[in-house]
Amino acid sequence: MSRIIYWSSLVFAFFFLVAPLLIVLPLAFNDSSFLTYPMDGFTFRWFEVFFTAPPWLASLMNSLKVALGTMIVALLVGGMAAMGTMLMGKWGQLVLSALFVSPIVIPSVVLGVAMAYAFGRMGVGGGYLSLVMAHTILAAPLVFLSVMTSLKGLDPELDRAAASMGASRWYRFQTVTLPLAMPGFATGALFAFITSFDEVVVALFLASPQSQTLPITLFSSLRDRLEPTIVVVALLLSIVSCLFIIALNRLQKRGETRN
Amino acid sequence: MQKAPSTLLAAITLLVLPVAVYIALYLLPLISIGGLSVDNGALSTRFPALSAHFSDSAEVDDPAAAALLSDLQAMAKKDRAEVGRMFNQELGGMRSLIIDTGNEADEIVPTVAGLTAFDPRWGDPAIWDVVRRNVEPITWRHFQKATGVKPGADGGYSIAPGDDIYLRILLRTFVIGLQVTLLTLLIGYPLAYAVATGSSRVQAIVLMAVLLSFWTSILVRTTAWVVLLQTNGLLNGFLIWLNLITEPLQLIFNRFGTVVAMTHVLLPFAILPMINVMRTIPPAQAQASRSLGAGPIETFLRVYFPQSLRGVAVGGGTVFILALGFYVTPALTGGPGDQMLSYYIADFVRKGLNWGMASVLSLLLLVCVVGLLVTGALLRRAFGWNKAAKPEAEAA
Amino acid sequence: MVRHLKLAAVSAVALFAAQAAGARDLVIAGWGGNYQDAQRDAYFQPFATEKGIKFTETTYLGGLAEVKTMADTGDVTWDLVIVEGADLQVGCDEGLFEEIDWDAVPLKDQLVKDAIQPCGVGNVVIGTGLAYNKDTIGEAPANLGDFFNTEKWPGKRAMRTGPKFNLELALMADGVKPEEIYTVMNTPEGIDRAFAKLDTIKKDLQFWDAGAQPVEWLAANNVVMTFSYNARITAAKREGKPLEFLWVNPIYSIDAWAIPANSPNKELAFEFLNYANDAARQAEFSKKMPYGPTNIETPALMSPEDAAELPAGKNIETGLFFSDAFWIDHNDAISERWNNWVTQ
Repeated sequence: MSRIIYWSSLVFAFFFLVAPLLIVLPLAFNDSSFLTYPMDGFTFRWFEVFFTAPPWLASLMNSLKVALGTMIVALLVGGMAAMGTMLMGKWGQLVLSALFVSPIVIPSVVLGVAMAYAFGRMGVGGGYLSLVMAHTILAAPLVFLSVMTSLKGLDPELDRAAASMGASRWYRFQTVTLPLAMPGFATGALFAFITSFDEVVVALFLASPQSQTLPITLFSSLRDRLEPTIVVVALLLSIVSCLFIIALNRLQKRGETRN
Repeated sequence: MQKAPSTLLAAITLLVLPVAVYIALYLLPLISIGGLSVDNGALSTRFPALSAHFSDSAEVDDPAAAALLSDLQAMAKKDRAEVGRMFNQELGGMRSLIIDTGNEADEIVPTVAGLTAFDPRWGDPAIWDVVRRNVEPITWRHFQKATGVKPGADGGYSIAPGDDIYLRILLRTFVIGLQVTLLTLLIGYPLAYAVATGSSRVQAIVLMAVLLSFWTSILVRTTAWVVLLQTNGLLNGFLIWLNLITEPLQLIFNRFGTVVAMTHVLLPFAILPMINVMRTIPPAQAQASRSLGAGPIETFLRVYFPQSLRGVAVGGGTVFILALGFYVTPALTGGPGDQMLSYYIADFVRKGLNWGMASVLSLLLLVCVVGLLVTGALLRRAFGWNKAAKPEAEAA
Repeated sequence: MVRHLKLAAVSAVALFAAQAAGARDLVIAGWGGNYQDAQRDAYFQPFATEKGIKFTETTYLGGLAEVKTMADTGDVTWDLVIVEGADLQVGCDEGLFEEIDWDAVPLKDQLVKDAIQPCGVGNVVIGTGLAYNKDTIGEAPANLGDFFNTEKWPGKRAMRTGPKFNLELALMADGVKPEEIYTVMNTPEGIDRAFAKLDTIKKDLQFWDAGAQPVEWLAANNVVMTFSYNARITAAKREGKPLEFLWVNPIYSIDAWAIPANSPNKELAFEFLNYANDAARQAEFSKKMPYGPTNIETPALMSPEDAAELPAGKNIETGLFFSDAFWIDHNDAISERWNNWVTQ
């Protein structure tokens, strides 16, 4: 009896979790302009549309540019924030961590309104720069968290050993702690990239037609009409997510063996 | 912990850039929302004479009329149009009144009688009320509109029935958030339980599915639901094929579509904290309970479930707070009666150019979210759940 | 480490420097869907080919937010946008659009009077009215009043989100003559009357945002009747869907091309205005998307069958010309009441 409850609820929940994407994504190869089963045949023509029709490829390139820019800047900002915070005392750490992590909990629409207004006043209107600036704030907390986690997880014995040999705290930090925390930086960089690459709400407030990112194009065509190309985009974005998870796994395994 | 000066110096050097970036790109924009919500500079600076007049007396007399006309004369044509549009957000018809009066300002006798002769609406005290309230440098009108509280003629305040539209939308936002939270917990619990206690094969498969879902963008998962829920879409086709229904059901652009899609999108956020807590529950306890003669269901309900509640609370809280700020999923799967506060915030900026209302509603949302976070933190402390759940980033 | 950081900073700067240089394509903002498809085929693509230029398209959801931001920041990212009349007038008054030098427009004499605006060129006449699925409705509705007759035609009805068009249609259904609509709506009692009429079918109402939705709902029998744009219905009819648009008391309105102020491609955009109002080009567009042309010579270039589908001539004899002026003044107040009414 209890087994039946357990397994039936588990199967239902699992199905609910995975089925939508598993059912919908294959339609990217459907040789029909309708998004229904049974499939009429196998085709790559919707991929062809994606790579030739004007808005899609351009917005993919925009997304890549913005995500790379965000990755670099957020790594710098979040990484330096984490290292600086680690060197502070207990209360300093508490306050600074709260500051650096807080953008995660602010609703994106609120950030979008605030940034659209403030960036406009600063004279950085819609464009790559404003998108990178905004996404940096969304991504830096994740870089901060992953670098902090790896810095905190380090074996204190190593640091103590260095200290017993008379190395100063800053010197120890530079030579012992930092190199060991490199996986944290790499993870943070991945987080930053994917955060920016998938972000849509803040970008809706900030992007101009020239800097329109892939999620924005997807969002507006979803409101417009359903064509198989949107499933192609969904599939491509899902593939990026899969690659991301694989990379993350690799990094963690490497981190574990090194520690 | 003693601190060498060099360490502190290093810390400060490292922190200068991040703190500066956070202040410039994050804190200042957020603070500007607060200013924007009461700022009336766009109007008050364009009515210097009238503003000066009303700061001395509230009287609508000939000097007030003369001040109004001189201010209108001093404005460029396009400024009058902008000012008129802003007044119009308060009272319909004021835009054309301001523009017409401004265009003819040279010809009008600068007295109240002269204005009224030009357009009888200037004899209406309600019009002057709007003008007087809106030439002050600070305005509370957006707050009044958001809360439905209206200043009465006698200086008191009242809530007119039916004017509390944004409070009702806030209520709707909370209701949808609660519905989604309950569903994610119901559906997420067995999945988290399987990851924490299942065989290693089940664990690996379910965890992989949860993480894949977690890292697939919200927009992509919403896209899947938009395709599934179409009237002539996959789900309806499947139900008709099963002979369960004969006519397609309306599954999208209503509450059903919104709640289902949001539940799916937010599911991993409920599951990951539950997994973290469930993994700390020792299996030996359940075995002990079973060996003492309790049935599996009783054991689960009395031994396991109470211990997993901390994860349920953290997961549910996370989902609820995230749900409050949702925009993309309801916009794509909901109807006009299912839009949440975020939708109206975006709408005020994108369609209405009304930054004041957008800021006030943003503040409202922000206060709710921060309030809930603080409540959550206090509850955790009260229940002794201080060992915070690991950040999701780590669970990956 | 420092070396890495330096490298990162340098590449970040290079990334932004790269985008600052270089002129951009002609950027055109439209309403999306098959409306924009038809515009692309009839106007954008041939114009670009003729001029040897590139163009970028973007979608526009109404309102003035984007254009206002461009004016405020000086970063003008659009060169052409097709706007509704009310937005055109408000934007023009506030200096958000380029003023048009009508003496330099050779086609001026061929355009209908309402197409000639200080900051825009009316390009498309749009009919809004009752549409239904003739296969399933039984007896066809004969007037707008039937939209509100839930006894004879039970079932869901759809209309556009927001008060525009709906209040006018409700009042006409309630027996107000087209020429008196805006006199009635200028009084609080008139607005009450419109809402009272809408109240009678409120529980059966469903609202759409995108013009494609009502067509799909009708075809799938989700709704028994809908208010819709004429060309969307006709386009669906041509694809074999059994839909009909009722030319009794339709509302017609004009969408116009406008140029955001200080667009860097303004010369080219002005040339486009001429191009888009050429009778032959408009005939090409109206054949694909049967919205009405603003060039009086266009209908002569179309087949009689195609011309019969346009919001023009006989079709709009009982029609109402949509008042932008009324909505500019009253949209804020009535929209608020509408939102209130919907959430109650």
